[in-house]
Amino acid sequence: MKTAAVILGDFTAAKGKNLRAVGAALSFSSSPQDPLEIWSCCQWRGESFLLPRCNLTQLAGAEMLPEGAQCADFVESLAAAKKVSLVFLPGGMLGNEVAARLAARTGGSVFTDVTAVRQVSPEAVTVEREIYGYNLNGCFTSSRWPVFITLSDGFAEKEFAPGTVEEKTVFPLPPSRGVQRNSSQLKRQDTGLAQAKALMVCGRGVSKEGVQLLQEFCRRTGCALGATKAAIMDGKMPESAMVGISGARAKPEVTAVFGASGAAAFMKGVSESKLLAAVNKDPDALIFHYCDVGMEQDSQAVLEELHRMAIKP
Amino acid sequence: MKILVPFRIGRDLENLTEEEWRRIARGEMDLNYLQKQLNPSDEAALEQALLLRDALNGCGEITGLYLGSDPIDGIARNLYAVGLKEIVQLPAPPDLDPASAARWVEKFWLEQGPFDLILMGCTEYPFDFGVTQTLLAERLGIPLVSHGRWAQPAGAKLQVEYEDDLFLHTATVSLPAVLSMDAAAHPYLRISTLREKMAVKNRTVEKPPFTAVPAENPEFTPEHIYRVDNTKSCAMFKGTAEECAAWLMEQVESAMGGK
Repeated sequence: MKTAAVILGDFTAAKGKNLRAVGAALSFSSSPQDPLEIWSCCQWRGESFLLPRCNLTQLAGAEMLPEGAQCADFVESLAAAKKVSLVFLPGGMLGNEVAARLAARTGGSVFTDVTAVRQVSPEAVTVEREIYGYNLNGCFTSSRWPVFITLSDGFAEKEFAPGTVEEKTVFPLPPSRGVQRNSSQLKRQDTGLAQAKALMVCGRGVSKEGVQLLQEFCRRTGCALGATKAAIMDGKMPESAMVGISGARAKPEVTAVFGASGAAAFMKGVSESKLLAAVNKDPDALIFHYCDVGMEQDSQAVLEELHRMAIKP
Repeated sequence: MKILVPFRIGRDLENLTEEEWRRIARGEMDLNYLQKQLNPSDEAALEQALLLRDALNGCGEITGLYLGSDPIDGIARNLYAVGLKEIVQLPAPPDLDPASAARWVEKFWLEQGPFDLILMGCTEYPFDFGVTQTLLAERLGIPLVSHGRWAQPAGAKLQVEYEDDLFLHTATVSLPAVLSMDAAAHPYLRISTLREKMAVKNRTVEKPPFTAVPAENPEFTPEHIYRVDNTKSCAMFKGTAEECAAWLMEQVESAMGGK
């Protein structure tokens, strides 16, 4: 069956998402001898990575990510014209919306944030994705074509060889319907959390005073400082500090988590740490099942000691 | 402005143990015994609806639409107390898939609407597809703003801040529209006063006659559920706070290259 990959233009921040979509479309194409269909929602400059052998169609006049409806208009036209039955899109906000729109318009099916594709056949597609707040995995099957699949950041990237762009087409930007943008700004992408060697994370259980101690500790030691979604929603830390599914996924040498329960969505952001330590005064805290070293301590007390050690001349 | 807020009731899954998750995966645990809670995503939508009504000096009507069969008297009284005009319950099955949910809401819209705005959360309990709002907007043929942060009235339109994967946008949206809330500026539903609760103590949920919409999308139901074992053999460090801090400091200094 014919596959296609939708990519989010040439933004460096979207490179991983784009690579996953392209790799998956190549892997599951039943005609690998043909150039892959790659459809870019923004202008493609070829700076972030090299495309495989493909036919590239890009939306004209899109300096930033267009509206979901505009992207869906674009992909819908191409999927019909090129008779594509399986489309891979980057997971996340735009990809999930576009895929759902396309499923609704074509009578096909949509799977969002897929972690693995178990089977593709002319009869059906079976995928895996996380459910119940990332605590469980479920297998889902559809035989309703076309199928639109968005890929989670946890989906394994499949390597491919660079090739030539055999056909390059520009598609006019469809009109926006009902949503008139007034301003747009690029979100801060590089918060340093993903590259940190040592990461301190504050959870909801850390007081505001504790956060200040931790901030000073990190400033003096060079550690990165992150926060759980719960701590951010409580106003203790800015959103850019979020660690987890909705934020950064870090792979530091050491991570210390203070006052966090260990929710699955957060743990996704720290699970690849070489050493994961947790401080929590609740002996039954879930996080003690998922870390390497646990400390049944009041976070405030430990933070005061850490702060004292950091400021010691 | 007439605002419709479809919402779901989920279960508090936060403190389940590893063994309980495994039992759930094996189908051995009935989640109905867990504490009920508003779907957190929908809670943000409810609060945003109230903020819009505040901005309109109370000239806004909010209808809460509960898709489910659980009794929600306590939750409903709280919603009436904070200012919802009406709460309607449609007896949808517990694991209502997103496509069916969109059809249910569409049917309600056609029968009881129109509404100027549909406000909802971005994700649905329990399978977290995050597509109900999109499927609904497509069915109704109205604009969708996904991943909204805040909204305020702008004449006959709505001014919103929302985001995508890379950008933060502000926009003016023509009504009627669907707005789904994600990282909302005000994620928590306000708390009603005792006086407000007393004023609505006799209010009940409306249960109008409604013909169920048949489910037609089996692809949204998992065939197989399992739990990935992410547990570790956690070594509990025994020591005072000072000793814990000293150990952590040692690890940090080692990671930072002996600084």
